[in-house]
Amino acid sequence: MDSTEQILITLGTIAGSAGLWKFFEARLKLKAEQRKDDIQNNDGVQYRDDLKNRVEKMSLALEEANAKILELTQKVAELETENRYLHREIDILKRR
Amino acid sequence: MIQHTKETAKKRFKHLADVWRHSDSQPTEITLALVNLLLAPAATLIELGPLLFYQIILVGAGVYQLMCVAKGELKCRVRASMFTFGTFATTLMMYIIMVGLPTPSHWGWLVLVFSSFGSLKRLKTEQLHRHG
Repeated sequence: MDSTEQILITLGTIAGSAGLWKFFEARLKLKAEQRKDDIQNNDGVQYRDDLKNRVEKMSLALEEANAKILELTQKVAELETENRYLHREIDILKRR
Repeated sequence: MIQHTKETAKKRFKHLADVWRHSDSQPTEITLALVNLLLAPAATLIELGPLLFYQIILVGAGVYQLMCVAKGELKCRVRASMFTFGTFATTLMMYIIMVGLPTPSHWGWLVLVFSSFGSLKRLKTEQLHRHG
């Protein structure tokens, strides 16, 4: 075998096998994408995502409610103090 | 009884296929690289005579694959495995053209072509799993 033949066979076979691999690679990529789509469209996964969203919303609502409860407790305490003073003043006025 | 044997065989076959598709491929890559670096040039030199261009490419492919495995870079390993698959296919082609595959031990080159292709496929699957 002369060197030209040798070079041609070597480069040709490497190029051919690279082409064959590219074909298989495209098929592998397609399969991987299909698998990903299947997982994303799966009912169980959608249900889980929905639950996750609901839990996130509920924790936000809980934080807001906690803040409001704290605010209302403070106001009630203020009003109780005010009420006590007013009763005391009414008692003083009645005695006069 | 037959049903049970059938199911067990099916399970074992599925496990083998899973191992073939997803197992760690570094040891295979190193073995294939060493074959390209040492065995293939020596065997072809003895059986087919001096084919300088092709034999230099074999050594280059072996060194490159060893370098990529040592670096641990997945992209480089995929590229090197593709090159290795090409060189094994070339070795098989050289044998077929020059002397054929006269003895059963010559069919080992075909096994190496399949092995390098399997290794390449495993690496690509790993790459797709990691990067999508």
